[in-house]
Amino acid sequence: MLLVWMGCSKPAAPSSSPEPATPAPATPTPSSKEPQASAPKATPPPAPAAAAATPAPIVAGPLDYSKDVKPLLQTYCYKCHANGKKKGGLALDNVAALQDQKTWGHVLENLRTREMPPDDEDKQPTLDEREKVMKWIDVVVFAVDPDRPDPGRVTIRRLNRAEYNNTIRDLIGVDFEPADDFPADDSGYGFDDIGDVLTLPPVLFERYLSAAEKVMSMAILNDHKPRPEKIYVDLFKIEGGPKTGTTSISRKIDEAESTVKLDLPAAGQYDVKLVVESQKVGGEAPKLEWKLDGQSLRTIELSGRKDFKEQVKGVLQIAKPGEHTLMMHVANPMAGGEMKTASTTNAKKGGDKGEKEDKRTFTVRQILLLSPPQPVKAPESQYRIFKAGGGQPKLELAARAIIQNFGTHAFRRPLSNTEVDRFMWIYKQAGLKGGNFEQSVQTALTAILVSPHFLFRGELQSQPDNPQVATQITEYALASRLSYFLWSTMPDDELFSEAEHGTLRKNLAAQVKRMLADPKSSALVENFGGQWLQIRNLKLVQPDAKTFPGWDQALATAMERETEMLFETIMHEDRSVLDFIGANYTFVNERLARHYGIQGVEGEAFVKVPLPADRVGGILGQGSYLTITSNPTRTSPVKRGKYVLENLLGTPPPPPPPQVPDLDDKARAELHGTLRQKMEQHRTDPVCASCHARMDPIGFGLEQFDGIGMRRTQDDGAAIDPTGQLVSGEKFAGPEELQKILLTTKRPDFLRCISEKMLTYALGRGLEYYDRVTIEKISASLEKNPNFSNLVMEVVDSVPFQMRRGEGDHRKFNEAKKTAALPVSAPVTAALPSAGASSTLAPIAATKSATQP
Amino acid sequence: MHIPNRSIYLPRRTFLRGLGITMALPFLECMLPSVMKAAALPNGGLRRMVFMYLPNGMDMGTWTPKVVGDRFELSPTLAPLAPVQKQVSVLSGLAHVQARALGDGAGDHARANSCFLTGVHPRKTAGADISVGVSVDQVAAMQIGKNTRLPSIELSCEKSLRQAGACDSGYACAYQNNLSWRNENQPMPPIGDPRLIFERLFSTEDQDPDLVAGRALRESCRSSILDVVAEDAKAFQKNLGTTDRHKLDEYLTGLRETEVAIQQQARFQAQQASKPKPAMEKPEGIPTEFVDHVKIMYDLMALAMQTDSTRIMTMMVQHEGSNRPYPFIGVNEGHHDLSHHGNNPEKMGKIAQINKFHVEQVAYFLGKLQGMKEGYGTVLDNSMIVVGSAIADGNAHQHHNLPVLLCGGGGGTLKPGRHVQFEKETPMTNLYLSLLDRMGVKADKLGDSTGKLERI
Repeated sequence: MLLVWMGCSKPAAPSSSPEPATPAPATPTPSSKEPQASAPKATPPPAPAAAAATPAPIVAGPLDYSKDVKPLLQTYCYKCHANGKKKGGLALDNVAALQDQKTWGHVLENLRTREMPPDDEDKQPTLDEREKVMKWIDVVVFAVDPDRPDPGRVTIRRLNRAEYNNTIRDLIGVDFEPADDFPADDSGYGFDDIGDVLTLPPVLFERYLSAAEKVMSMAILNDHKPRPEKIYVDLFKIEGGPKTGTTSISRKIDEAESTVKLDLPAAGQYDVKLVVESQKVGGEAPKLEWKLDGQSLRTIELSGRKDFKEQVKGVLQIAKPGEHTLMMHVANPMAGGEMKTASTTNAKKGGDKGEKEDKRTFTVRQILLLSPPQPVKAPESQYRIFKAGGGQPKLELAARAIIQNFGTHAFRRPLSNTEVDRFMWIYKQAGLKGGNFEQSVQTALTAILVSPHFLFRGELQSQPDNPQVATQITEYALASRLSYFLWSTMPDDELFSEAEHGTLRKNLAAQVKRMLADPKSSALVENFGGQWLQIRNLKLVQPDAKTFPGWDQALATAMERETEMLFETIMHEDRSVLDFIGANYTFVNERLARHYGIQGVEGEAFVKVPLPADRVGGILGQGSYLTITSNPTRTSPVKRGKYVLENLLGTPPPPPPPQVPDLDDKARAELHGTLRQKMEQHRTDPVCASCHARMDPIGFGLEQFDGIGMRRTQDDGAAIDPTGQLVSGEKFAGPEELQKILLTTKRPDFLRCISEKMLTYALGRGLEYYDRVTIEKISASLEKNPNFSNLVMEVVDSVPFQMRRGEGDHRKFNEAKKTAALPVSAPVTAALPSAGASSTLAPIAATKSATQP
Repeated sequence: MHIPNRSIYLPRRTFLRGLGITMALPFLECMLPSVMKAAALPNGGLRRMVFMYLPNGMDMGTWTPKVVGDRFELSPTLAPLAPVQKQVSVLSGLAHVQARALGDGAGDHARANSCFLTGVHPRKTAGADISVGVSVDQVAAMQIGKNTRLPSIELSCEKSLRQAGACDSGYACAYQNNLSWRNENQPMPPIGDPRLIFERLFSTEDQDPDLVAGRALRESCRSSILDVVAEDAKAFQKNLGTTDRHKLDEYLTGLRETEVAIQQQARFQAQQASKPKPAMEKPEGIPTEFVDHVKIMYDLMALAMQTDSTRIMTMMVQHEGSNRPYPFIGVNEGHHDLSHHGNNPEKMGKIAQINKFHVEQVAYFLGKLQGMKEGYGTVLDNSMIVVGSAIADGNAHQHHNLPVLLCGGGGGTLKPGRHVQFEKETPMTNLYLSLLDRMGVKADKLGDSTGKLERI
């Protein structure tokens, strides 16, 4: 569960009686029944006067602690949580605890997930009784009004690395990913798009400046002097040489001649740079010989240091432009006799690691040629940028139009005149320093790329520090929220146009549909899916080569792709989100099919296949999940269980108490049997048992898959027992039954969990107690229609996505409605745009004709 | 205070060549004054401070030398330090009390990592309100960073990829991913790609054909660009709420520091114009093998020190809680998993092996610095290098009696080559205060410090 209990607040007047003073001094509040009252789509917002008219539909009547709640707690909870007993640190007869919202947050959570009372207690509350306590907590403790939810506030978000790269790509169209050189973004709440956590250290600012300069120097050619052209040789086009050892990023070379045809633009001297890896075989490093058009150029002895990227440099003299042939090979192959001995000894160990060292080879990772200076032509991006200045009678006016157009896209909203003036000043400065027209425009646009309005996604509101006022975000802000949520990039022309005409809210459903169908939605798979399901970690895991000889990079990549394709399929075919757990199909290429024991799949391409009988569908049976939750040398039932609780059910176990060593590592030497048997022998320790009883059984159910997700029947020589029982009581025998439990009795938990995860990612903030209303609404809708597009639509339609409230004490928002003095305000276009109070809104229509095609 | 004769304090801005390495060196021997006293030197003369973090604690049994004093025998784990033993002190008994739970429950790794250089108990939050404290290196960088082209450098031997999903027990990942903190809310992220470090140390713009064109104009317009966007940011700020304004403050701080960096670049470029280029080639990126990665990062650190590009560095070799296996030394299990060894001798042996591997690399680094002549001494003589962890035994997550090495002569202000036992629970930050003092940095308190250490 993601809720963060911010307000560990205590009421002003401490009470000495054991009856709690209600933590938030609110009573169940009557509220509006008016349809759509909370839906942000409705403008104008609900009239505050109407709020007092009808009682809230969700509460039958005012609930009272002493009358309604306390007796239930006495019946079901006091046994362990009162009269001197405080299991898990909770005493429900402790005044201080009862006055703490945090306490009630935990109670709420445990009631909702049915973790409490424990399954083995005879006395269990009825559903109505549970509901009653939960309602009281919602309405009285947290003063939440479901018809007027607190939208919360999102800290201004700077673009993270993926967003920066994508935005540059869409804004300018250069083939360059500058953010790869930025320091890594920190994450919070499981995602790296959280405004509070995305800090801006000085070293990043320096990088922003150099990235802007580099991007603009690539986008606009500011002098027409000839310059060297970079020619990267496509490694796939190399012919000859060994048949194995070629991947998309490397090419193996042996003694046979490997050749590649080069189409060179001019005569003259070319600098060549090769990046190679080699290793000593028979005590000797390979020698690289290369020839141009049959003539030997050089023979170089390579370092022979395994996995060391060595740079080999050389020069080619080219007499005539056009086609030339570059050849390379190993000049000192192993002698015949040597080779045989080596290959017989190594043959058995071969496996997936490819050939062993019975041949002298080297691996080429890059071939780069730098041509003699060539006349250059302006890149496509230059035409796009300067087009906006077309038809202007004066250069200065043209510059202004270009800046205005470019700035509008970069800032994702129209620029004010003050802002345009600011960047025009730069244009003039550059001119004074001797820059020509292109250079001066280039300098001004560089400044735009360093401006906070480009780097941050600012959302303005009229009273940013008044927590009682919630504001509908502008259409431009909404366009940005949408496009960064679904595409991790800036809005495209269509979104801009909708925002400009003020029709985006009206056409939201159609736009969301269009956006999900667009190839750019792969960003949602990569960034949301990659972090929610944690498959990004496949790039970091290091399974032990000895224990898992089948492991290699190709397998890791295939596993990541399999999960991505499941996500893509659910998204593009608008399937039920339950397919994440229950899909009866999967996607494999030859490598992964072999790993899963599926016959008849060949090649690198992925195909959709029905599941084999011995593999469970959905994420639980995928190599990605099974690998990232394992330790390097073995499975970890604890981690597998924890993953399911955290990422699929949204009910994470409490963290281990400090100073207690991990269960399965305690004095294992004395224990015998399978990993499961060893772990169960530990379960005698009650401190550990209560939490591990939640995690371990799930992992036990999946023990038939080893540390890299391969099917197995034995562990350490003993048969695997895949049966188990969840802490909530459900029993299962094997992965299929476990999966079935998740799809049936745990279905509400999963729907709620995926709603929470997606809302967190979409908003860029951690969820708070007041978001429970939104989550309830989204998951209720998913109960009826669990299709992916419905999930996205519900998130996009939600109050926190559509609105923001002023900063300050969040409780004031809930109090505000009671006085009815401060209504939810209408959109404040008057406060826009941001720069300077005196600025006026430049009509986007003026720049629209200049909008990039 | 004992000051060995060979350690002499030298002014910067001079250089030395012909030592088998062609590179810009900070001074010329002929410019040496014959005698100089530490106290007389502004900013502590040419001294550097480096802080290096090793994760998951140590196998303390094989780490701690048996005897205290200057006749101690290196323990098995520390044995690789033999060639530089005279330049290394083993400090026992120091503690990071603020890394303990203190009522916050689990999360020792996040706390240890963020407490190591700050001495502050981090606020337990998954993201909304990160807060720890300023770290010792940044206290120094803010006061004396201007004396070199770069105020400080933050490094790690990790990929720039970050773990997806939640981090340690409810603590935001920032606590575990950063050692250096500019202020309580602003981490200074470490850079792990040697190419990027190289580019920070040595301008490589002239090697990029895209950037050659229009370079002069671009450089001359930088300050105008920064002026305009600063104005932009301030106007923006006026319309924002409190937290958003703070975010823009981060932007403005970054902007100001970049302005200073540009000025520093110009200032030092003018001085270094005649100097030869570094002999090291620009690295291609992160090497595949971990050993190569660690070595190249240490090479770059040594280069940064030798060329006096900065005097303040932090190196998070691996983040606290790292589960990296070390198959190249026969340890196939993850480091963190092993560290919960439950007193299993086999596992403890493997932890000791990992510790020893890291000590070997540190010895390589120290050896390199010792080989770099500087005035009458070496770069190592003029350095203060702290190597350690904020966890002692990883099994129990203890935060006292920490494994700490203090290396280098501190420009004659340290007495290395000893095993010093401090009183129980002596704050680690007391050591830092003493080092700041030697750097010429004014600081009365850092985190939980209670004073300065006498016997270092």
